[in-house]
Amino acid sequence: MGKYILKRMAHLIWILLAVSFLTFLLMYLAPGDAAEKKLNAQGISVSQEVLERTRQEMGLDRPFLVQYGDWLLGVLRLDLGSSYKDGFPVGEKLARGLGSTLVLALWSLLLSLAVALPLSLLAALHRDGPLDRILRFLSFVGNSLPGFLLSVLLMYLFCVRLRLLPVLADRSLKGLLLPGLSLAIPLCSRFLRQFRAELLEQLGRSYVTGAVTRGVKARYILFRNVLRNASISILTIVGLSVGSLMGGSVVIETIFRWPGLGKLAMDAIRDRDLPVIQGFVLLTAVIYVGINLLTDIAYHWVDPRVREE
Amino acid sequence: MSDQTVLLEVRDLSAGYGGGPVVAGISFTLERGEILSLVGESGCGKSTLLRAIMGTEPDLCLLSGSIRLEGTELAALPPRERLRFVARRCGMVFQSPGASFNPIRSYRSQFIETLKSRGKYDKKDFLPRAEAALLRLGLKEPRRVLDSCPYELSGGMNQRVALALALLLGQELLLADEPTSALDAAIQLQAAAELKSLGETAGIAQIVVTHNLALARYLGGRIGVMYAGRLVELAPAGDLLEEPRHPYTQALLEAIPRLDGTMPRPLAGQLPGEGPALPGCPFFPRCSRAIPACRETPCTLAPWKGEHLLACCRAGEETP
Ligand SMILES: Nc1ncnc2c1ncn2[C@@H]1O[C@H](COP(=O)(O)OP(=O)(O)OP(=O)(O)O)[C@@H](O)[C@H]1O
Ligand SMILES: [Mg+2]
Repeated sequence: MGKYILKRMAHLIWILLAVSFLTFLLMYLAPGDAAEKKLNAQGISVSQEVLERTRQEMGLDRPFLVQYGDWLLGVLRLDLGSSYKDGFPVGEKLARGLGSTLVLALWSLLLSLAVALPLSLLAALHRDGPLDRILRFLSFVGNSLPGFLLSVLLMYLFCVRLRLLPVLADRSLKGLLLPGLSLAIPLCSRFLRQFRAELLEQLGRSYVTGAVTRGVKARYILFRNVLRNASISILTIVGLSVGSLMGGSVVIETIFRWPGLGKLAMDAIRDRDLPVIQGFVLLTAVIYVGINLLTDIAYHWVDPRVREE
Repeated sequence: MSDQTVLLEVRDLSAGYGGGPVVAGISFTLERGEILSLVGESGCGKSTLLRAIMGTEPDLCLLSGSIRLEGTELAALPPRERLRFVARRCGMVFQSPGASFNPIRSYRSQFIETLKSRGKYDKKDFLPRAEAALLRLGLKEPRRVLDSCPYELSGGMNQRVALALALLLGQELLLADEPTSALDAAIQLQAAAELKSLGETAGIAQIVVTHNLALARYLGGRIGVMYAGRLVELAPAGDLLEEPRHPYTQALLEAIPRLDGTMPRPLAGQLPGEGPALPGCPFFPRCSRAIPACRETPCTLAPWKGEHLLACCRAGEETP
């Protein structure tokens, strides 16, 4: 197991190298100029001469590989550089954004699981019953609504019509409600459908018939056998959803002005704030690989067949 | 008919998986402690008959007939109650016993939850009893077996574990679907001895499906021969093997490989496929002694001589 984790870590290094190189290259090739944006942001009227000098100060006139190498050396010294825009250390900015994003993502994930797990179990047990039909319809709707539309609808309903909540989210419980729901509703809809399918599959397995024949109590069959075996797939589904959760939060955070990683990245892209973008990409890659690794470790823990390999 | 000695009474049972009947017109009674072996070609509906009695297969539905267990008509019970009623009295060892257990949980926990569900779990008692049952079926390391998951054990080991749990549960009726098919000869004998003593000492009645006629003879009791979903001959084991009356039974006996080197004579033709059944004898197309009347006349299981029951319209005539 330890060896396995080390191997995965070694993979991570290559992934990080490739990802960071690619984004660096893309940003280098993309139109727009960090120096100009920086000066604009400070309200300085830009002459060609000033622009050139700023570019030199920022090291933007050097060849691409030198710039990338310089940045990489910094990363190896655990220094992600500082923002072009406001000079804040990138690490600090990311840490603050990560905190906010985690709060939002975890809250929507927990909300989705808390709703989807029991409901999918009920739906699978009463297949094609009224509850199952209603849930299937709702999850279809929830699945097809894009997050940005959903958040605008929610905003309109709760903030404009009912005047229950503020339009802009603060980090209070109230502020978390709408962005959380905007992320959770599509996620929960997908969970419902996928969990239900997996539970139905497990309920149809011969070990269930066997247990019923032996007279095992329904409670045991459900919780100790069906749910346990289904949890292997459920873990994968949840692990994979973290990716779309992070992606979705970029949009939702921007709409609700939630001060998380997603908003940070959007702003940085707008400002051509290369160090922040690079930091964001690295962090996201680490999170992805980390979640995948965690999912794998969880497998080992649930499924003895994997444990032996 | 509901005297105390009769445990199971099946009358004119037909059952199928949504299409036509897979088993039809099955009638027999089983007394307490009695062993009935079922033999017949692959696909003739032996497993289906067991499942129909057990009633746990969701796809399988009873088309007609009655099943009485301890005098209670099962077909009249609502599904849930029927399930509870049958599971209390009747255990089943499936054809692939490994598949009837959760592949990724230890046998120990699955034994415990089964016993707990039936109110038969005693913490102090459990381990010695379980180990003894496994040892009796020739599993040398009972502790290790208990801590294994089904996927870790061989087919034969899973088979014996399933039998061991049936021993532990000690129900009135055990339905065993080829319980020894994956065992090698020596262990097969040991398992067969267990089954036999189950009937003799514990008074547990059994229906044992097998392809092995020697096993059926060893178990004693009666042998039922099935063909295309019907019981065609039912008689005490000795009578049936020494004096088979139905042409199919005779052909089946001739198809057995012998140790003395005589070549077996395989049965020509195949089981009838799906589709509307013939009105007459299902064995008609393959029967060497068929007469035109066999095609039309339905034949039902009827006493031929004493306990020897036969479904053949040429029963009265002598074998050529
Ligand atoms: N779950 C099922 N759904 C539909 N048809 C089935 C099902 N199980 C069995 N059958 C069909 O019912 C018939 C009888 O099958 P069954 O399993 O009872 O035979 P069997 O006598 O037990 O054969 P074997 O000796 O190979 O175990 C076969 O034609 C088979 O295709
Ligand atoms: Mg079978």
